[in-house]
Amino acid sequence: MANNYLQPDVIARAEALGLKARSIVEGLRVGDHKSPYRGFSVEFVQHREYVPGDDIRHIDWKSYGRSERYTIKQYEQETNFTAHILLDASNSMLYGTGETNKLEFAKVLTVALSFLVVHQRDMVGLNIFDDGWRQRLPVSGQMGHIQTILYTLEDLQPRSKTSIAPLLHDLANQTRRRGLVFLISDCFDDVDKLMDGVQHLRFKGHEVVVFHVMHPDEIELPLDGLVKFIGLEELAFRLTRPQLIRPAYQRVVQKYLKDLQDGLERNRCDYALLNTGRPLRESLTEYLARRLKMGGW
Amino acid sequence: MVTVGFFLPVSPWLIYAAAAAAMSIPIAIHFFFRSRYRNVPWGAMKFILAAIEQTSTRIKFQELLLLCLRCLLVAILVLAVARPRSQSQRGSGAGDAVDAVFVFDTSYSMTVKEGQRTRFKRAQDAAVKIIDKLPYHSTVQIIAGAQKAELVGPAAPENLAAAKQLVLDLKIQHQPADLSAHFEKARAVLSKNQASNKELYLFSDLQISGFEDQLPALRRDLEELKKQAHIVFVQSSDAGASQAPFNLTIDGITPQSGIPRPNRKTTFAVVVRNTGRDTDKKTDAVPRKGSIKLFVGDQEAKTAPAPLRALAPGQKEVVTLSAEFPSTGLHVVTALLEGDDLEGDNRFDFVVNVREQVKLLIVDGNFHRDLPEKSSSFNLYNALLPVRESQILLPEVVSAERAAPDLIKQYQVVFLVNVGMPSKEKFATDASMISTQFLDELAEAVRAGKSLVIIPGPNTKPAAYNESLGKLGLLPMPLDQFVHRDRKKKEPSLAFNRQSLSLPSFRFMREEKAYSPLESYIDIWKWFTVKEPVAQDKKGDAESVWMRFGNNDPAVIAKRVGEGEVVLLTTSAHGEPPVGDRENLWNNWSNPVVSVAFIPFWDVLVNYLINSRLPDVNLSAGQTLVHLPTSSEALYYSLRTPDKEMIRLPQPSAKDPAQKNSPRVVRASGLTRAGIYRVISWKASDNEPTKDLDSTGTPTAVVPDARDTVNLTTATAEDLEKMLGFAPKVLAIERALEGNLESVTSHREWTEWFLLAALIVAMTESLLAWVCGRAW
Repeated sequence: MANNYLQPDVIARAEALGLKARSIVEGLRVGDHKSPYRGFSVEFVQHREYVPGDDIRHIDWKSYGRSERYTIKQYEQETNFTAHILLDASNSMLYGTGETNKLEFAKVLTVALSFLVVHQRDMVGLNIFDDGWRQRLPVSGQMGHIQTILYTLEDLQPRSKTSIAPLLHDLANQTRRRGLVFLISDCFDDVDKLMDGVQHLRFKGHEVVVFHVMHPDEIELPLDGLVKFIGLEELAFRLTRPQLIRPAYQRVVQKYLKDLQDGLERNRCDYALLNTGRPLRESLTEYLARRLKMGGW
Repeated sequence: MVTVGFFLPVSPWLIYAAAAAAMSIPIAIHFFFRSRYRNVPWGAMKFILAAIEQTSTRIKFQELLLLCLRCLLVAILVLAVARPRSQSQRGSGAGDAVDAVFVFDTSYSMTVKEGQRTRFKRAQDAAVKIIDKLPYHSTVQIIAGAQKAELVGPAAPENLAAAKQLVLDLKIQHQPADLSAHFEKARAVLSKNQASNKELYLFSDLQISGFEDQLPALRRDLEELKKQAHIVFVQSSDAGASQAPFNLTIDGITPQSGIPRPNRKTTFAVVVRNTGRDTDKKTDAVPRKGSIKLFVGDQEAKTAPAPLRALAPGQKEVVTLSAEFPSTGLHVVTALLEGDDLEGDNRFDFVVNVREQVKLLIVDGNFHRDLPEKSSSFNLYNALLPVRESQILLPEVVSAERAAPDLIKQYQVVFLVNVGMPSKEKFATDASMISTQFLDELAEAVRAGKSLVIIPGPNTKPAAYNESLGKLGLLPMPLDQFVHRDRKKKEPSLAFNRQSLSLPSFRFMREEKAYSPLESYIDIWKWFTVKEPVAQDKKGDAESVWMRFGNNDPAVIAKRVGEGEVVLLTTSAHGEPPVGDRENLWNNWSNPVVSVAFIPFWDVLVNYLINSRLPDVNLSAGQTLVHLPTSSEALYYSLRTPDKEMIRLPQPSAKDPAQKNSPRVVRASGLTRAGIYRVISWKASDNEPTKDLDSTGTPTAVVPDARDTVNLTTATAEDLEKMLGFAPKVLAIERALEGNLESVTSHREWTEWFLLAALIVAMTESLLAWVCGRAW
């Protein structure tokens, strides 16, 4: 059910905190976000001398009366931003059952973020990928867009393997306006290549938020007994006793997480590790609260 | 050298195969559980691969180690179930504790001297030495005996000091060894022992005859014993036929002059036989000689010791020695041999009954005082008359009509010769008839122990005899018909069948050629047939035919009546009428010219009748002593053994429980030691007799059972292997005496250690599995 992804409690908790772009993003509409485009708006910023070509509507006549010089009043323009949600729909997102299924979890997160963005009069676009673009919904600020997103997600089935880095480059090249990029994925990709893509986006001025969706089993490997692990993305399988390799596995995972986190931090990207074993509302609320606190906005 | 094996009675290879098969179980389980996995589709495969790459070497090693431990565990358990053991040549005091059973052959062939000590003493010393060399916590149980094996102790088998003392206290028994009985007893004892390390020591001279006599039983016993214990034969003799000892044995003592009388020289024939070999063991050439002495009681007889000539093996010599007895009654005559290697049979005791003259009453139904030669008892009387004054028989003849009942008391044996039985018809009496009172008194006397001899004649009427004597139980068999072979018509006469003489005392007549006229020159023309019971109707040995005629008709029949005996002749003892009438002869066997057997026959018969009623005071070892109490007062009975021990005997019981009015006798069994036993009776008011009482009581002589020395050849290891079908471990006595037991193979059970190892392996496996987080 498409409406399953629109979970009121998640939306409600996130809405209370709002989603603000931490850095300056360009927007089509005046919104809550600082815009690099200064214009004539409510928020006065400075005066400057009139030069021919300026709109005479912006001449501050009171200042002319005092100084007989033509000055123009400048205001900071609050603009709306464009959010690009990149949703990983590769096979590795298939792991987990029920609410802990990574893809399902990611879908709920996608809808929550989309709703949040649109609700604060910003625009959001959805890009579903695996090892290439699977489906892309253009950016829109209309509420009806949410419905489109919901329908899209409803039919979404995982396939193929994860390959994020080329897509990030592609996205960086395609978008002209700086915006907010939400990457929702388990990031089972090469960390260095992923960092290249992120770096490219950052170079283009995008703010990048990585929602790293992982199942608790993938972090802790709590399985017991004799288990045959069958690769969801690779054609590999291994028969082993998880309890025997657990410490080694956890070391490998922790190193990977640290590498990922350090790389993103270097590129001044947000990183949120979302454990699907934990309710999304809590994880998202925690993230938004942290972002609010750190971003100071 | 140490060899390993198992107590489980199957092939060791089968056990190894079972262990190997058991080792496949963990491997099978390993692969079984490897096939029982669950599939988990996994996204973070690269992490799994990386983790496995880091740990796979360690995990594989752990897996292999655990699998090996599990295989080892089941293999150890299988081997433990089979009760592993090691066999090693046990040194002194080494190895696991042993449950030892010592089987002692105490037969008197063990008294052969080997050097300074007897075989028995050497066996005792060797046993003590072996006990000293047993490993700590060992136990010893001792079985000893000759014919009968007895577990003599100790009560606490672990008390080795007590065991040693018991060994030293063992005594020789004068019987041949029944090794089968010993082994059977040993099997029972061993089966009760729980220890794994069991050893059976047989201390014996290993006489070949002891094995040959009961070979199948011995083989069976030893086969069973081999499964239970390690068997060691400690041979206390030098093995082999060439090592047989020089042994003279006394076969018997026989008084030569009838019944011994007090204060008169009595001659005894002592039969000596060489049962060993003929040469000196040391020089191996010179025949050895011995000497023999005779004792009466503790006093040596006045005659000088008789030297013996050198005897070839099996050869007999009869030595004549004389002695005097100071009084009537039972006296002990002892013959002592010197000069051979075997002490056990060098003493032979014989109890003689020294008596005054024995009176014989002849009741003649045809008695002619003036012309005694016409009397029917004439020949018999003359045959019984003593030739020498030293002879003690004193026959007296009375006519039937003068035979008064009171007479019977004075006589030991009564002869009824040609008497007529009392008639039922009033006044119908004649001189040949005896009175009913006499017969009644006679029957009573016979039942009390006197003897009766019935000799028929013309006055004998079968119906009357059957009626009178038969009713009183005095007729061995009912008379049937009178048979008359008419000489005038030249009807064939009968002779005696000499080979039918069954009484042992008559053996000389049967065997010696001098008595062959009994068959060739004797003619029997008149006799009585008897109603002889068919074999299945006979009850016990109450009646028996001692001699038959040539046509197999009984000639001499005897019957035991109470304590007495009745003998019936079926033909006359007076076959030759002195005057004319040769045509009417009953027989000619009483004619001394024709029949050389007539006088010896009566001599032997009367001696038998006199002596056979004596208490059985001359026994062979192992026989039961039967004492006939002389007083009817309530008494207790004690037996004084040759070892001066006093044994309380049970109260008297019926001699023959099947018979009514059977006399009550005191029995003593288990007389396995040769020597003089004395039955001492005492009243409740008396003090119980002590062992110091030396010469009181009724003596009984027990002589060695001669079977033990018939063949003194001892078996060699080869003989044993040939006879038993396997080669038993034979420990030479010299080695045993040195305490050198290295040739004794000792078993050591390792089951407990295997179980401990299994426990350790199991714990290690569990710990490792827990540490490695691995379990099935």
